[in-house]
Amino acid sequence: MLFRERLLGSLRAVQPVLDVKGVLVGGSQVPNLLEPEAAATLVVSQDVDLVVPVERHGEVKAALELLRDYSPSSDEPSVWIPRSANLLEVNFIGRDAALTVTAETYVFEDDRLPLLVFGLLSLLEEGSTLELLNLRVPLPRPAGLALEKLLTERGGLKGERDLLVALGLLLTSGATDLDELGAGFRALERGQKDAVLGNLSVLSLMKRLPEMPDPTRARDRVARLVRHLEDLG
Amino acid sequence: MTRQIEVLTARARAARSQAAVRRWELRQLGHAAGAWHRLARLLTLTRRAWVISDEDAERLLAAGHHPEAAGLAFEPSRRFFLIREQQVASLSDAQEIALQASPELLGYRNLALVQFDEATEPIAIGPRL
Repeated sequence: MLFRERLLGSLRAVQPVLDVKGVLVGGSQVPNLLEPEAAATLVVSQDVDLVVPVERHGEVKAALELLRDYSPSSDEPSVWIPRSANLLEVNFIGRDAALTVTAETYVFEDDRLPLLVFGLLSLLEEGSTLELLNLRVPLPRPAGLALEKLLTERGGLKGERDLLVALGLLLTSGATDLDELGAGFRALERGQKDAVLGNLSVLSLMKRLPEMPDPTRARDRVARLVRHLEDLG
Repeated sequence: MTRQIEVLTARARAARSQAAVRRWELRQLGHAAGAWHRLARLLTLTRRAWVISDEDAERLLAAGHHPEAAGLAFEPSRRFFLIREQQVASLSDAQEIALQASPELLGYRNLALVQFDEATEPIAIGPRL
């Protein structure tokens, strides 16, 4: 089964959650969905992140009752497991627009759907809704998600995966997205700007990982982006 | 507190610790007069790189090339020369290397670098696919 079919099938199975205002698909599936017809060739991970605004938590919980193909994991809080191997795991993460410290992280306690709330997710803004095959998939604006990934605090493979998501976004972005990325970059603190530029360097010098977007083929784009961001300050 | 909340609380604590460590790492990288940042930036803006011999490095110096400050800041210093791609043929023993983070990359004493041409390439990242 093609990855695209698994991805779209998973999103169809969680449509009631996606219909809650403010919920967004986040993380590594966004570049896949931004490709023409959601081609999903930039596979980075085998799960789907759903970003839940904490103020909509109650509505999301109610929507969960409508899901037939997923059930909560007994081992992993915030993870819902598909009943079919043809679907992807769903990982719920929290977004709190009131969190201004991007390094802050807290737990939203709930027996049914506890959430890790990440300050960095406050950089996300609601973007377009992908409408395809009777699906409605709310996506974040690419620039905010790219900045979130470029401010990653993680090391090792997880950090590299986040940077490959940023790479996927660069590969699917246009001039408007670049302008927004620049505006978002300008608003960062000096230390955060250094982190973004440092992570772009890490991305530029990263080795290719099997079945992942190839960073070596996008080094020119990364170099241009670095110069552009430096010009902005 | 349920076990699930305990697990998430531990992860939140770990995420905050990771963030603190990363901030410390970035601050350390900014030390040594920002040498590591400048080196990473130089290599990020470099399209192709060749290891060159001491003799070729001396030849470039004699021709008026100056090694980049980013390499001279290290001890022992590294000589990184920005050249034009056509010049590579004039170097007697240049061996191209992959621009990928590795201990070896930091071990070379002399490198000739060709940068992405900022003057002729458009700034736009690219069209939506």
